Amino acid sequence: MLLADRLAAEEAPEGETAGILSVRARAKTDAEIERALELYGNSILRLAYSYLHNMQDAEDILQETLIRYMDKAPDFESPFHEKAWLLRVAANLSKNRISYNKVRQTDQLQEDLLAEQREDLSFVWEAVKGLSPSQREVIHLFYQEDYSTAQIAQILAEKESTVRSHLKRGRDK
Amino acid sequence: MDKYKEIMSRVSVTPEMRQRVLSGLEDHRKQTPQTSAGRPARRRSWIRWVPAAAAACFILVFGLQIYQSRQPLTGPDTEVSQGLAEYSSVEELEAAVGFDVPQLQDLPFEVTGQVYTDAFGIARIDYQGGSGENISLSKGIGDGTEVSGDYNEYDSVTEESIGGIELTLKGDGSSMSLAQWTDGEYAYAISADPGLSRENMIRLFSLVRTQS
Repeated sequence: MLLADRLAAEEAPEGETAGILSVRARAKTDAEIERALELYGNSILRLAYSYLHNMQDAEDILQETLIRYMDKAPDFESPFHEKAWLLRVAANLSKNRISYNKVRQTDQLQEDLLAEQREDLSFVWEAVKGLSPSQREVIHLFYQEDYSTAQIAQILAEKESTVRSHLKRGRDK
Repeated sequence: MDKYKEIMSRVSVTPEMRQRVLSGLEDHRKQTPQTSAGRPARRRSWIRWVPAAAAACFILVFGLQIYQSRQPLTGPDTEVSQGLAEYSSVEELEAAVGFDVPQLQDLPFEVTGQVYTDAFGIARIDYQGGSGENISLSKGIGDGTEVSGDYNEYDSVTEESIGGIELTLKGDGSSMSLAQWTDGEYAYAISADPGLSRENMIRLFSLVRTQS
């Protein structure tokens, strides 16, 4: 069974119907793009920000991810698969940007937290920023997107034991 | 970690950002030539053979033009391999990703399982041992593509030139966890858990090179 099928069949969050969201392999319409932006834009943006710590960079990743979505027009078996695909693309694009040192330095989020005098949140954010990218992405997908370690393993194409290891080390730090 | 969600709630798509993103997408759509099926056009070329005449004679053709067939145009009935998929053999994986996938042999543990994965166009074979050992071989298109999925920071990062290929080795100094290289067309990575000796990692690299 394809991983994608398992994602849809076994891991679909409660509340999602068994109906299949089947998208034919064709270019996305403007309405579909706007729908994807509406449904998944925040998730994509936040995942990108967790890697890049800069709003402009995260916005660039959001746009690039949706361009891939528009051009590749893959078939999705469910909304869950669709979101997993988008997050995977966003993660890869974000990590490529880090690899090529194309990341800006201004962390507006940290600036906002300090301006609000939310030392408690600022402390947590700095701690997460100090993690390795592998640990950060697992922490983000686990705590922000509420994915299980099994789901995270499939999204990131890693072994579940590796995901659990990253999660534990991230928590310990 | 409700605090993490509270932090992330401050990161959201504003109406201004939404307009900029949609505008950028529209610009991209205008700049990208579309096929009649509404998909981005892909350059394709063909291998054209002029068949030899019947067994008795040969035809010499001057000015013969030969193209190599690459990626077929996708149509509305063609599923694009752009997701996560597992296959039961290397042959199926090769068919999915569209390129040959090398294999590893003589690993330093007994292989109890092999997993063949197409992760968004990157081919990956995981060799698993009975005591939790794992060695992964990844291959993807593009000389700058990161195919290993391993973004950890290692204490030891060394570069070696072997047979004209620049090989990057990462580990803790005493063992190697990651080897990365490109042949100009594809990017490769071997990751090992637990790490391997430098000699073993280079041996596996050489084995892949002979299949490339």
